Amino acid sequence: MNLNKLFKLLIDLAFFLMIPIVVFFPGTILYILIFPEQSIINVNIPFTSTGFGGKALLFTLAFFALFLLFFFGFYQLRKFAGLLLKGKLFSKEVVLCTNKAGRFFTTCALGSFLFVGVNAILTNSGKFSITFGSSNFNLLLFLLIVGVLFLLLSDAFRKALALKEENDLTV
Amino acid sequence: MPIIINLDQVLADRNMKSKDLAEIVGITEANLSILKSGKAKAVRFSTLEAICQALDCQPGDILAFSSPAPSKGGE
Repeated sequence: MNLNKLFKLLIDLAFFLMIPIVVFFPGTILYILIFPEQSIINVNIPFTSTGFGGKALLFTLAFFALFLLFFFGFYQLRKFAGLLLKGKLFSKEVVLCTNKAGRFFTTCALGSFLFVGVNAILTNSGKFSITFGSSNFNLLLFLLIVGVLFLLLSDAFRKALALKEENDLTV
Repeated sequence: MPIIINLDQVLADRNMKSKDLAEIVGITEANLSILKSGKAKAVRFSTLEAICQALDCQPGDILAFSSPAPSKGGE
């Protein structure tokens, strides 16, 4: 299988798996807010064990906003994969897509670091937590690296586009 | 761009058509049009050599430099 096709397939798979979360997240949270005594849905958001207070709502909104940033980043990545499949590697659209994807991923990672940090401070019980294997911190750091990498890629594509235009206009 | 292409003038002097020149030089008419309209960013020495050979002229007959007008506000 062509690598471009595999890339687009993987991106599409991840993108379509994310759509239900984006669509159903607000409704689910609304359901929990309306029926705080419900026992059907178990959410993994801090401060929701004792009901849905202001702190929990704040964290929920922050969680959703960060997820939206990640989702929009993936949307740009999907556009980029589509352009790759069409063979439009050196085009203004690719420069724009990679730049937007980089900005979304970087903002999402930085915001998540803040989110995780604030959560750690608020829930600190005087103990250090060490995670063996791939921890949230490592994954967030990786997301930040991916975001910066996309910004670098965008810059590289912009330079490549200028060189291609120059080459095309060389007689 | 301060580089001016006088190819049209040289072609008219030689009574030659762009199509014929493109064929002799070995470039497409589209590329010759890019060159004539001044949109070209660069010219290969091999292309310049072929044009000069075909038109029996010097590079200076085709290319000219015109210094850009000084910007307002300068002394």
